Amino acid sequence: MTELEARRLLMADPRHPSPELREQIARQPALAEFHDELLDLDRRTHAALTEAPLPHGLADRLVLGSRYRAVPKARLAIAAAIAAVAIMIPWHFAGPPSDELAMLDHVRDSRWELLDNPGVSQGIVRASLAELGVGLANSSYRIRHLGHCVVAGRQGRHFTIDSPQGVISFVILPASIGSLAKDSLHEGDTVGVFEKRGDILLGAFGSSAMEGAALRRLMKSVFI
Amino acid sequence: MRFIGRTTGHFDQVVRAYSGELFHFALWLCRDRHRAEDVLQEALTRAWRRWGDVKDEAARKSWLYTIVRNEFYREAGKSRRQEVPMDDEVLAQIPDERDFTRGLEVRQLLMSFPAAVIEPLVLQNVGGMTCEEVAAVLGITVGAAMTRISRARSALRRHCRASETGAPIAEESTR
Repeated sequence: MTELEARRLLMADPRHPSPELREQIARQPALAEFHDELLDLDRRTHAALTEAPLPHGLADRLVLGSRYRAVPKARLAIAAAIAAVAIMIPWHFAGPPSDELAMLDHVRDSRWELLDNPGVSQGIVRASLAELGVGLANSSYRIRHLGHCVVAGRQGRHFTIDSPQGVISFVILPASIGSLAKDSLHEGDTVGVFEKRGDILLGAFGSSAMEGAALRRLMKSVFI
Repeated sequence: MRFIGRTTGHFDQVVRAYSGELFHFALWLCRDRHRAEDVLQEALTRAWRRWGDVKDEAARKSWLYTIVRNEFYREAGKSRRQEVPMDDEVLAQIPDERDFTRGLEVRQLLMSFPAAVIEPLVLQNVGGMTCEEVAAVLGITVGAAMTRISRARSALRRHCRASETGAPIAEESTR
């Protein structure tokens, strides 16, 4: 391979794995300099190509949207009818389930919200919560994940943090009319505490080993 | 049922791993955030329906990129034949004149690249693909993929060097 051929190959792919090319780069300082220049150019190009921020909760929406849209409409209609009956029967006998219970069920069912997605800044979470009229306090907790979620037919936010007590989930939801039905719930391996602020319902969820009081203190320190 | 469970989990993992770069690819095709998300959503819905078709996991990423691209052109109502004109015509659209790109950000220069050039560049730079994989996704020869990427990189290099030195932007070889 001549130097010109090596340069042409590097222009097409600076990370080309050809051993012969690697040898040439190691042998010729001018070629190594050219290679470094192209790698630096690629870094700048990459930054420009990916500088547009990703939409909030993109992965969650894509996953759920793909599965929902892939189901034939007839099956969806049948499933919706069955779900409606299933919901109406307990409502008829025991009244509608509370927002608090719906939030707890959401946290228990949505295990993907516990995934660690590095790079969720406090600024992004603050902007997202501000859309619901909720303030995020300045805290040192690392935010693992932020997603949009739909609970009891209303769109809210779900984010998780690393705390000294482990991973804690927070769910923020526009509340239905009425006062707080339960200020804490415990089901299976999940415990939740709730606070209603105007039209917004805040929920903090941890493992059942956690004290409700500690979870409540954590919630006070996270939200303004 | 076990198969469905396994597929669901795998689909979730793969979509979460690649959703960011696929979005950026769709965004550079569409040049509109909302349209890019719609194209990506529709493409992944199609991918979910045919998830089991891919036997070689190493080809999964290229397969997803191909579906996103096809969905973009399907949505845009363009046929493959219309989408890739003669190479010379495509390459002639890359700004290689002397001075008019001076002062532009790299992003703005990239915006001026035609689709036939920005596609292979994003596939390689963002998708981390080799020229062979880029060629397979685009349905072109490896040589054509290498030419398009080289031409784009050459334009970027000229632009960056001229921006740094303040010198006129001149046509140059790989030297």
